[in-house]
Amino acid sequence: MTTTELNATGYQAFVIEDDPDTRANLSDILELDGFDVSAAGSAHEALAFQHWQQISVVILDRKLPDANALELLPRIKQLAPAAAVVVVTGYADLDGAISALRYGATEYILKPINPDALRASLVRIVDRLRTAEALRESQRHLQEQRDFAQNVLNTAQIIILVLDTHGRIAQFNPYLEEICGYLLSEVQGNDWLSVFVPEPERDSIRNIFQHVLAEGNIQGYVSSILTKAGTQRDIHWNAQVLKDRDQDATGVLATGQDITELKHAQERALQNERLAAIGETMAGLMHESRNALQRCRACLEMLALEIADRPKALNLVERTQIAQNDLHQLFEEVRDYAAPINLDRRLCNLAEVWRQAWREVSTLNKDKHLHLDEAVDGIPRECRLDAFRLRQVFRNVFENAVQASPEGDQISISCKPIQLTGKDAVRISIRDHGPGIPVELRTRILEPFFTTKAKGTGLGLAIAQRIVQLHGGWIHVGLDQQSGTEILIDLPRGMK
Amino acid sequence: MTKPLRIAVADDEQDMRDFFERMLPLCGHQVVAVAETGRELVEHCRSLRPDLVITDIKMPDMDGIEAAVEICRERPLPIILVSAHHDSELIQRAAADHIMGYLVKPIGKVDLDPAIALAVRRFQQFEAVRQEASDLRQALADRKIIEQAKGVLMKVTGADEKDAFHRLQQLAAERNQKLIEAAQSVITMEKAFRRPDTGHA
Repeated sequence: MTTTELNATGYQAFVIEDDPDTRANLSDILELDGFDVSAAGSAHEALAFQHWQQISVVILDRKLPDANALELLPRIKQLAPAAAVVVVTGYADLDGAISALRYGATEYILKPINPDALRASLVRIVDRLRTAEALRESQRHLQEQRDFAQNVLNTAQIIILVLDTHGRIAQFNPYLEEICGYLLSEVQGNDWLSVFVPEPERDSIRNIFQHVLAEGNIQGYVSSILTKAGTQRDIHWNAQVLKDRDQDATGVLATGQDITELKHAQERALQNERLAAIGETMAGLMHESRNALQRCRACLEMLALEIADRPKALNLVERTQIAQNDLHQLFEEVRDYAAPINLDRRLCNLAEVWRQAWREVSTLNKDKHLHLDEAVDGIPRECRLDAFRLRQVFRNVFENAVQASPEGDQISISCKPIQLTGKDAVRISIRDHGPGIPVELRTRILEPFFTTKAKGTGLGLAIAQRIVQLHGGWIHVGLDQQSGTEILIDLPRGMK
Repeated sequence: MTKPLRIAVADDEQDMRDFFERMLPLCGHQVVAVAETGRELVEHCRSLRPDLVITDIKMPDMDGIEAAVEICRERPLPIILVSAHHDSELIQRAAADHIMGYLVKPIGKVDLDPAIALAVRRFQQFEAVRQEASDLRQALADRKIIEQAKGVLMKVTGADEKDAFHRLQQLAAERNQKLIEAAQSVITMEKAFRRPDTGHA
């Protein structure tokens, strides 16, 4: 055998030949090569065939009793557009065969049929069929991949960002639009750093960008982005350089995950875990410390009686007593901060709660002659809150405000209705007119043990924050440029 | 200041027992018993009959609240608890009768005076209310008997209600008795004269 091995398994051939011997001969050859063969003896019979769709190769005799190949070809092309047609013809009819090719035949072979020549034709045909199939397959594959990539780009809950080599925004996906509030069209071509990166981080991000261009990639870098609304999100970035065929850098592809909530949740979980651990030991610790402090105090008082005639010694006892009282207060504050709190919500008038707190604080600080200036028109009067705990919140906030205020000054309190996560809430603003707190320290004053005062545990606002958070609200620090410090308490009213 | 009281104290800490013994006399009171445990406190109260008790809560063998309940069952008196605990479960238990004060440690001499004064005052009010309730109960019972006696007199003499009551008053005055005593005599007499076969007068 001189021709290439042919395996046409899986392909169907259709033989249209009026001479029974030739038809049988052709069918045999085709079957030997693996074709699944059907046959017809006339044009009429061929057109009545039911399974044209599955036919890949047609062997068509040039001359049939009821039609010639040229008449039949257009019909065959309609019935099986992808099929290859081999026209079988005699020498005398070469011109007709050539016109057959023009009408869409793929090959022609001469009678009498030489099996090797037929096989050579079939090899070419099957090769073509296979190539066409492979091409279709790879095109489909490519389209699938393209659709998939587009789909990923559109739906990924991950930031996909492309910057050019100058750090200008070339492309980003809808997810980043959603997070940052900018449309791509608004900022495309703008400098990434100046739009999205908070001022203090710009230098380090610029270095990172240069590093990626030079070294190829960076992984697991966390930085903030600024949203259109001015808030910040924490993003976990991976970035790599994009190169063209000449290996020249064309830009940087960065993918980023928004970990803001995750970070907050982790911080909260850690905080809660810490609190729970402290809280558990706190009950036992408090009991023992109170007992020990009690014994100190009992003994000090008895000692004072023993040395009643020695003023210097008495003075030392008194000072010891004061130190011990401070220690006691510290313990109580830590307990307040860490021990479990169960809210006892009842209907109450919020303004009465802070007035009561103000009376307590101002009585203790009479010598400063401070006034509380209220601006509380039109606030919802009724709330369902733990008035006792909230009194402590106001006391702690007032206490700080009083400490910061110059003598004879006033502290302002105002209250307005707001919505907090879809619930009726109030925002209470308490402002002093003291020296204020530097911007960089403002958010830190809510941290436990942070204090700007010479004395105190630094737990006052942290305790207040904890109580307000248990009510579903939060305390934050005003960030405006006015004088003094403004503490904002956002508090759901707790009404159904 | 509160009038001088005979006070029993209990605490498992020596320092606290010394403190009470030393400070309470300075407040004008006498410490008649010092106990280390709840059981000891109960026994001291039984034999020494103090006017007031100041006790720790957590003590070996019997805690201060159990002791207080037992002491008051025998003889009510004002009790002040002094404890390093102030969890809600304890406070709820302490809400029992006769607990007239609850001080959270650490306390000093300055805390004792007002706590004692308040406890004594509250206890007196409490006792007064109890007395009043008991008097009212008695008055109600008396009233029933007087009504009954009136009925007897009305039936026997044919007098109307006003006259029957008047007669009862006269009877009491003549015999130098209380109205209730006269009423009881009338009912007793009525029973004596009742014919045995009818069962009813």
